[in-house]
Amino acid sequence: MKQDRASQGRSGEALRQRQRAKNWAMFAALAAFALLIYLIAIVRMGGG
Amino acid sequence: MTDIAPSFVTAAAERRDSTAASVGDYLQLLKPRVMSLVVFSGFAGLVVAPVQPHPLLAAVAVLCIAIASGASGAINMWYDRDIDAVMQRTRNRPIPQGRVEAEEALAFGVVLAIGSVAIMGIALNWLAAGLLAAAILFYVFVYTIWLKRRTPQNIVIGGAAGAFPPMIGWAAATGQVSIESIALFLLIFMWTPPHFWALALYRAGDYEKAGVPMMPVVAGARATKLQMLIYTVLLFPLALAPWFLGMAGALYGAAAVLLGGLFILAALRVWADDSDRSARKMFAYSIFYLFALFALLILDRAPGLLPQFLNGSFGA
Repeated sequence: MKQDRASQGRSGEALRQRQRAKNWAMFAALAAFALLIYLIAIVRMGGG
Repeated sequence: MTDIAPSFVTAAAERRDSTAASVGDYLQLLKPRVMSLVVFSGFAGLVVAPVQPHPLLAAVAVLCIAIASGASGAINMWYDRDIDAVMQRTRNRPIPQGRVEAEEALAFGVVLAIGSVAIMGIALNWLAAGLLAAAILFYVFVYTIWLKRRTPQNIVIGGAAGAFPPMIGWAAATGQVSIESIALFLLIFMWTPPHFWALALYRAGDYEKAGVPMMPVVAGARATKLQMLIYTVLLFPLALAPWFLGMAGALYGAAAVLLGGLFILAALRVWADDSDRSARKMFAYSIFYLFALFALLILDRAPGLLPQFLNGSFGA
């Protein structure tokens, strides 16, 4: 019984870690996208 | 879509839990190994073009080609989830394993596809964006949905989707489609059948189980090997086209002769060998062959590009 609860806790923690990693990946992708649009705009406005 | 393996699909559905998906699972949906060759050939098309865009815009073009390739892969995995569950080579993919929901993979692919086309259009030009969209649509609708499960010519016609990247790279740089970029398109188009059939020869059982009518399944190994030989012979002069068209020098021409000769030799070995060994070797060699040809094209242009880059006139 105790072992079951311990393994459930471990898998719950693993899921939370995966969700956190996905959140960070999404944040990084959105930040990179915003930066990319900004840089494209600078280059295009500069006549590049 | 045919209902090939309901038991596998049901098992995947039972395991389905989108929170179980990791970042790696989403990256796996993008078919990174396929992406590497697509990106490399797209980059080559961009570099060998007579006009060079700003380095940042060139990088954006390559990024868009990479993302579009990944998006096509994700949509392909969504549609092919039933046969992926049956085949040894693909059963560990995130959807048949139940780590990513099918609809989630579809949405992921569609968002990336639209995003890559839009950014290509905004950053470079709308011809390149149109070609990128055509490549995605061709891969999804013509190859994956229409041809793959219907005809042994699936990868002959469907191979056009994979042949687009150098043309897209060229169009991103010049804003045009020209005879040089069509030559690069034809090179990959003619390379695709012997490349895929080498794989299909030693995975024929897998394809048969999944009900995919690949050439070795439908016409048998002997007929497939003959066609592979014909395609490698036809590829030989096409690989010399960049040299004839002045896109590359004599070094490229000599290397294309040598590499093409070895490709024909590999096809002859497959023809003479009844075991899988030579087909496996030919598959590996075919990847090396295309990488080497495009690497030579890039290297041929590098001496001219490097001084431009160093003195700041690159992209001017």
